[in-house]
Amino acid sequence: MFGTENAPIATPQVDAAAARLGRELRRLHIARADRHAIVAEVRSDLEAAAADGVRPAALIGPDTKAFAREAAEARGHRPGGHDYPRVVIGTSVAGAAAVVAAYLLIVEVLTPLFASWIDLDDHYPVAGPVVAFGAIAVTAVLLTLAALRWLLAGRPAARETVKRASLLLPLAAAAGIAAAVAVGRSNDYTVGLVVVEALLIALPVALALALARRSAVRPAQDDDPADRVLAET
Amino acid sequence: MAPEPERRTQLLRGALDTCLLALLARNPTHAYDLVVLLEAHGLPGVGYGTVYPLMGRLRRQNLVTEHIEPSPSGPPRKVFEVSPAGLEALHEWTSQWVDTTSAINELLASAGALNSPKETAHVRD
Repeated sequence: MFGTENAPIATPQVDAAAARLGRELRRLHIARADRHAIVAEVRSDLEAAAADGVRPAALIGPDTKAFAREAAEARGHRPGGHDYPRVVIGTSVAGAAAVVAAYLLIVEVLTPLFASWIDLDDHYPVAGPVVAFGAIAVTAVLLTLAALRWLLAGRPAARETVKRASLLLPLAAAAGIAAAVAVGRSNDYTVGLVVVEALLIALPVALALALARRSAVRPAQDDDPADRVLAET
Repeated sequence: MAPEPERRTQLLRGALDTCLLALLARNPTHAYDLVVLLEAHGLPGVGYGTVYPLMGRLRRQNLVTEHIEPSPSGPPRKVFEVSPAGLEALHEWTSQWVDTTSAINELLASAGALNSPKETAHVRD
């Protein structure tokens, strides 16, 4: 069944297969000790199979990545769960870029465009700035969620993370902006004040993203991934 | 109708862990050897990619334990053996399997499906 060969398989093939498995486990962010334990176990089986003339590829299968994921999950690890830096830093940076992009789109492109179409006869709507800033906020949040979705593409609980972030992110951003406005009004303008205001917005946003990811990944950890193994044979 | 490998997978789904516990209860061994034993017992096609993760699950459920044994051909190896909880599970799962398959066999026999299709048609005539 394994495509058994008459001669025992050479050690370099086993070494190469074990190294490939180790690399895949590292890509899944499995801790070093657990990674070494899995590789050592599988290596001993690969060596036993090699002595029977079974090639490592025949034992592990063609998809080392899938094997690594299943092996890690069966030991209780949730690959991809430790991706907070990617989620928090990546999405926060994308969020800052999204605010700039939304500002340029609304204020520099759409507002002059509408102004050129409609003559207001010096009667400017009071709600105009509110609508503009609201549009900037909504656009920025949508772009940030799109970035989060892109960053988590193919990872566990990606959809659930984005769903939870879509609730938490606007709340965190609103709270941060309110705090920044309050601090800004009660202090004179300095560069330090701008930094503090930026942090007041960035910190709740980062916290919301981490919370969204954590709460989305945790229920998935309760599932027994080994139940899926047979269905994939 | 489901393709043959898929039907076989469905049939094996609930029984493979029982088979592994039964094999280990008789003879503690390692994952690769279990694949060889399954094949020797008429269950080919159950790959190492299935057995190794399943052993991980059984270990997490404390149904198997592991210990290191010296190997005649290489470094010491990790060998699985059934724990007391695993033996209990094996008895319970075996009993469930026997009850279920007996009931299905009786159903198939009473419906005449255990005979060959030709004989079944003859009985109907």
